[in-house]
Amino acid sequence: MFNLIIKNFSLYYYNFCALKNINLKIKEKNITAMIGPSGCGKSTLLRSINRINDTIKGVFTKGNINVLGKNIYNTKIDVEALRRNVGMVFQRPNPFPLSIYENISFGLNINNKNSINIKMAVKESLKDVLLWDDVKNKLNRNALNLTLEQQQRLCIARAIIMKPNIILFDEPCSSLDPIATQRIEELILTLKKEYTVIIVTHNMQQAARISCDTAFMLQGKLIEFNKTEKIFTNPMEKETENYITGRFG
Amino acid sequence: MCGMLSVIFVILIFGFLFVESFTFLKNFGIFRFITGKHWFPASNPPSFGILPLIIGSILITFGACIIAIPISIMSALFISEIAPENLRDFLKFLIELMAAIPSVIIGFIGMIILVPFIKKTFNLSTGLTAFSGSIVLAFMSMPTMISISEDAIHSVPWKYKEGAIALGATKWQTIRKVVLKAAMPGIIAAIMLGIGRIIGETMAVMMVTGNASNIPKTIFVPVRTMTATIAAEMGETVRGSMHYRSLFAIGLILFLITFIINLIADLFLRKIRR
Ligand SMILES: Nc1ncnc2c1ncn2[C@@H]1O[C@H](COP(=O)(O)OP(=O)(O)OP(=O)(O)O)[C@@H](O)[C@H]1O
Ligand SMILES: [Mg+2]
Repeated sequence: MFNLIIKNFSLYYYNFCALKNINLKIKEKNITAMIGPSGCGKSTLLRSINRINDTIKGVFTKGNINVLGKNIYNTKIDVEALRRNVGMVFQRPNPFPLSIYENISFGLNINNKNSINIKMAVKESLKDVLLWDDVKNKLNRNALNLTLEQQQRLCIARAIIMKPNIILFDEPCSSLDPIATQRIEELILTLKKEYTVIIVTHNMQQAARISCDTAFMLQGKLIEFNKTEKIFTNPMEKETENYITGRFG
Repeated sequence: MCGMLSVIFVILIFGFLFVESFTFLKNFGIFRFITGKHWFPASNPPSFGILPLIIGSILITFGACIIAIPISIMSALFISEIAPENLRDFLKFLIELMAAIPSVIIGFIGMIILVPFIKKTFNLSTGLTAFSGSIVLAFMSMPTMISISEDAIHSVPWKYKEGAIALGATKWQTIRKVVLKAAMPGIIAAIMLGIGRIIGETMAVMMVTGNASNIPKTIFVPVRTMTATIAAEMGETVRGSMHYRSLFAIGLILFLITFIINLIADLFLRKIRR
């Protein structure tokens, strides 16, 4: 039922403590939002779940994060396998400067153990993100020629072709216009059927619109975690209430 | 403005070379000049065939590329992606230093160290060979190739690497499949500039290749290049003589070759950028 459990997790950038003893259980096939003012550690927490923080100098962690029952901060874990299982979509769309086809097939190409039919898989995942009709005749074109919205869809397709368990979104709409934002939100909602989705957002309406659960963070601490509805209508903590009513942040 | 000026200069140089060599090419025949197998400008009657010189130049250039290109790309990758920070700074400094060594000095070092070494290792009658020339030229072109490739690799945005890592790519896969591809236009430019330096080089080559104007059958025999021929013989010719003009004709051919290479490089770069 919970496929992601964060236990007593703390993270330091050198000696700056960016996450303070976080405890959180995230339900599978569900959308969980993380909200909080800028600099509170949302991205840091999200990036701990696929250990992409490992690439940043000076990062040091305490506690553990269990994905599908395995502590991913165990030294023996296969980090590449973890990242195949926990996809990530970034704030600014970051397609590789390669063709659309090469972008989507990237993950399978570097690790095709089950000899999946890559062409079929590319088509499937482009259909899943509603991009197939737009690009089916130009799969060999450079992905950087797409619009920002299309690029972000492509990045989502690139992640789901791996059939991950969890997909992490770090403010996926913050570089898009309102209409594109709405359409990407609709797409994320459809992903809930198959994937556990965790989304960081600055936009409280967005969190309210698409998530079932919401975590509110402040200065590296998890203040409150509850049903989204509860957080937005009847929060337990004073700080949460201040934040959602717009008194700060 | 600056572009206009350089176009004018190029046209002027071309015009000058053309005027100086025109009577020679007309009298001797351009086809005979390019395909002639013997360069005996001082014998009677003289023979002005530059095929051996062209082949010598191509052979040395080609050999130098085969040595310099892979080493340069690997070094650039090592410096920008693998080496720890202080080592990186040191290596970059070293490469700048290498780039500043005048070619005569590299040629001289090649002559006193490399040439005897080649002679001994390959058991040849002389170490003054095309191969020695290729090695020396590879050394001279590598600083340019490395530092420009390194710039290109270094400026690949972090977000591409992050994207690859997030899809489960290892560091090496990220480098091979994303970083190298993203940096490719810059790397090609680096290689082209390196080749430019190789083709234009004269002194170092003269010192280590033996200067024999025969058509080489292997890379282990003495050869002579077009640039070396001009440099070696210009001082001995009588102004206005057939021999004198033939050297300008070589210059003209060399000019056309470099022009075409630059043109191809430019087209290629533009195509990749798109
Ligand atoms: N690479 C880093 N080195 C040092 N400190 C960092 C680094 N990245 C983030 N921080 C600090 O950690 C804290 C949390 O940053 P984080 O990016 O997780 O915040 P966030 O909640 O995602 O903010 P935003 O909403 O602006 O994206 C901030 O105080 C930030 O300055
Ligand atoms: Mg953030």
